[in-house]
Amino acid sequence: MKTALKQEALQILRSAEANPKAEFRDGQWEAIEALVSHHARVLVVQRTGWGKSMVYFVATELLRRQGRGVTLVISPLISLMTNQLDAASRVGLNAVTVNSANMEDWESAKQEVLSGAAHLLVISPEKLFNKHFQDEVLLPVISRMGMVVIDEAHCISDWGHDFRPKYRRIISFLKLLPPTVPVLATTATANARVVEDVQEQFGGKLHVMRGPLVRESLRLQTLQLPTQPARLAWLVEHLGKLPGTGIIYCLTVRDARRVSEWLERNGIAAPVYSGQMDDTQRPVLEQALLGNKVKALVATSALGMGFDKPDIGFVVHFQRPASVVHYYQQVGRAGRKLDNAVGILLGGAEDDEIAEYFIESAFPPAAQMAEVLAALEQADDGASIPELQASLNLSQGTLEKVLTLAETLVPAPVTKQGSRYKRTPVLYTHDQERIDKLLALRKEEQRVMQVYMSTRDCLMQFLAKELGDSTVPQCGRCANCTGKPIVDAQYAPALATRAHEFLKQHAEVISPRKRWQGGLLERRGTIKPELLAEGGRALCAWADGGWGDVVREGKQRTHRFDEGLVAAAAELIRSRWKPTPSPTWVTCVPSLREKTLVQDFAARLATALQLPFVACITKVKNTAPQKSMGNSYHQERNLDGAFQVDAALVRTEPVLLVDDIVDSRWTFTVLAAELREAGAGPVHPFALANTAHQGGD
Amino acid sequence: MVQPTPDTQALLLLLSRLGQSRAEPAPLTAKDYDQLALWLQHQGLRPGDLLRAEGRTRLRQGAVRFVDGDRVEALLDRGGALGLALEGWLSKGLWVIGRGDSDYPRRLKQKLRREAPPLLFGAGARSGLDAGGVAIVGSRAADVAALQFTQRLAQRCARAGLVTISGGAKGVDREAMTAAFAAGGRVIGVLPGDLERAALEKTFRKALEDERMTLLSPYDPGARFTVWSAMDRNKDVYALSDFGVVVSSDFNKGGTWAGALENLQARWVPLFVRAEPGTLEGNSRLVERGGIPLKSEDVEGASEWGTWLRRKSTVAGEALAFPPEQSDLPI
Ligand SMILES: [Zn+2]
Repeated sequence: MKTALKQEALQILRSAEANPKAEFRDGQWEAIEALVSHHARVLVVQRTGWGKSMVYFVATELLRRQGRGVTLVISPLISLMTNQLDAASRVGLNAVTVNSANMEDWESAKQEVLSGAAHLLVISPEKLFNKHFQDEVLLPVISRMGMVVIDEAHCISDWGHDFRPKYRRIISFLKLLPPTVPVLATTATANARVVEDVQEQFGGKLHVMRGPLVRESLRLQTLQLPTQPARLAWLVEHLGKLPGTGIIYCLTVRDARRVSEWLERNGIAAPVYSGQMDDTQRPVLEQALLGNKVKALVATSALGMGFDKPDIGFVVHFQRPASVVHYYQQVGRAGRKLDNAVGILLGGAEDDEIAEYFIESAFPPAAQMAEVLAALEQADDGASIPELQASLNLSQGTLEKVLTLAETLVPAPVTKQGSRYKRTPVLYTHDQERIDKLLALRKEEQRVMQVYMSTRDCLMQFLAKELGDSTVPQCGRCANCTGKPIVDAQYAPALATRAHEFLKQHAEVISPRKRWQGGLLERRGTIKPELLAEGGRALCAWADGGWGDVVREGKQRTHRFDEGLVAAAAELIRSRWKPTPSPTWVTCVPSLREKTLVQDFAARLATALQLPFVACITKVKNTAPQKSMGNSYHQERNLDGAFQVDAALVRTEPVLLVDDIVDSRWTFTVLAAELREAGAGPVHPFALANTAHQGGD
Repeated sequence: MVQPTPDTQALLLLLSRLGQSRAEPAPLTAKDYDQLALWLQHQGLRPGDLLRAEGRTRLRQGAVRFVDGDRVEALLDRGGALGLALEGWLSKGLWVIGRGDSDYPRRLKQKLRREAPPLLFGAGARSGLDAGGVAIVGSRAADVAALQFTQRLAQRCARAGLVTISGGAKGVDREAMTAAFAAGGRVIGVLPGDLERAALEKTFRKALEDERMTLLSPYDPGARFTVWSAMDRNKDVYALSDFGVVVSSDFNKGGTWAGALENLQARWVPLFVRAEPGTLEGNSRLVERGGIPLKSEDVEGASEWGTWLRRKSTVAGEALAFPPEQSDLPI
């Protein structure tokens, strides 16, 4: 039976799609009806491309006709927001977005919403809880809010790997809405446990509608190639033959950069895409892939949510993702509107180690939380991050992680007022049991991914079953069903040798620090440009399989750096790095613990570069290893008065400043400033190995 | 995190600014709301029913005579703002009780009747609000003697297991609160505003976390205190207690004077007044008007403190005038 409401909804759909015969897809009308007629809370689990946005476009229009106000869409990524705006305008709805990039438009957006000219307001979760934004824009306009849409709702569940602390506050916001406000939550991937958890967090009043997840066009394969050179060689050999354009996923930014550089060197257009890029770079890269201007983007998981390209031909994973949910979410981007798309998972020897690292670093230990809370309790009026850094020996990253966690617990033991964190009267109890359960779960998810790598069963069926659908038959298309590989495992050995050489040449960029942290008495604020270090290089990452192992050997066992390192360093500096203005002399960071190690190496390097070596720096105070200092403040403080630069020896020309290991970059930063003050030209820092962590996306 | 009941959600929609400095349309005043509440009770409805289609229809048909129906509906449509405001308050450990909730302090309704605040925002302990106790009030500009008296009195109450109730203002109020919880007693502070800020104060934080203290306010947690709200909340301080003690009061001016006089007239609780040489003029004038004199040696006395206060009240003809159970308490 077609009700009047459904007729009206169909009309909206048909005029939106400019097709008088258009019908709703399975589940679309049911969701619309629940929202509009019953003001229900609905979770829609449907694969990308099913038409989730049509559900809330039509519902928004129907609610609008009933006199309800704007629909608030909470969406995690800017790229997704822009897509939403375009799509809404095609349907005749006016969507506005307010984000950090368009602050100058806030007022006009607010006016549009207030006057009723805007039908959808698209914002990020961060903006939702930004005090200033709440006061200036949100509170006045959402008074008449008709509906809330929350995209990528699996982020609500901390069982999910995409869990974002801010989403915890979204859930409590949604729960606190009176029953007059309909809520639509959508996600493309969620296993049974995540759905259950989201449902439980909603207080059981969530109406779940899920559709089939299987993508008919997708052909899956796994390939175990333990070494990085083997996988790099395989990519160059086979990437060109994969259909269309696609995505290569890596686990860390460092890996993504390396893979991208290797492919580009081999003539394959595959730029890197990561969360460390700014908001202006990423849309450019997304456009390049959307327009098929590149063969692939080499991406971290930052490329994901909301990126909407219907004709992705392949998704290759250079390393194994953390879980089936994660993997399916990424591989499922391929082949939405194609008959043939490929999803290949390459497994490597380092996968388990990286997985361990991510699991172990996911939760700050109880002791760190206790330390931070105690410091805030003692403070008279809360504390800022720099103040906390001065009183606690914790890294800025750790501190931020602890504070974010504390600030987003419900209720929260810590609240942020401006730039100050304050302890609330909320009792904090450390829930080790829950954390242990989560850790065990993540390890189990890793184990399932290991099984996926080696199973002989249908790969699609395997994934579907893990995602909670055991009715899916064998796909008949994957490498296991057909009994033969979709892409051959072979690659030319010469290519692998070249890849190995490439890895050995993969220098690390050392960017100069720009601000003092207040740990040194006379140094405050932004570092003056004339005292800044130049951009530097490290020959390799510590113990990374290439030169990294040779560096470790020299430092820990032979106490002399190998001649090979001198040659490699000289080659890097002369042929690849080519620092400008070119250094005309060499000096080094002295150590009291290892008196000759660095100086000996620096002198040999100077000879190789045919430059004079000048020992113009002396260490006057023994310091603890910088690695043992938790944060910038303490690292910087640790160096206070540690060195003396002999101005009489300093030359006025550009200099190469050599050290063995770089970690916090403070030694380079402080010495560059002191050398410049003593009259030296630009300072180019060089280290044999970089030990700084580079995880995350 | 305790979610407010539908009744309280409706009250918030009708009465609170929901974090906005200028709310449009203007929320109902407590008086406006009381009209609506009377009508609801008469119709056999509860505030929470206004969140449903049927309740809305009844409202449209019936209530327009005494409240602006469009305004009420527009207020009820502020669901998004309610979610956001509540999230902000509750995430900081604050909570809210509505006049229709079962844990709303009964004595407020019994004594203040339709003047009982429709909403109570709070931090710290949510239970034990109905246990009565001793209201200790006084002027902001208190001298050392007044503060010492306050301190001994609060300590005495704490030792006797009586709750200390005060207004959270500088001077006597604060002294009473800090002295009582330092002595291990339970404390309730009824603030005229700025609850959100007070809950983060170092002085109160630990006691709130340990649930030995409650900060209450009939006003939005972010609302600044005003002279008017300071006057208005005096009645809540008295109504939550069994006995009131005025430590020092100006004559014919100031909130302490006005509140004490109000209490003497309404006879919410027996009123004790510090009576010693050197007190402000208001003290003796309050005694003239029926206040029971209280001396330092009374506070230091050996008898059971609660019993002493009760006996003294009876002798003075101010026995607890606790109204009988009533079936038509306001919602
Ligand atoms: Zn298969």
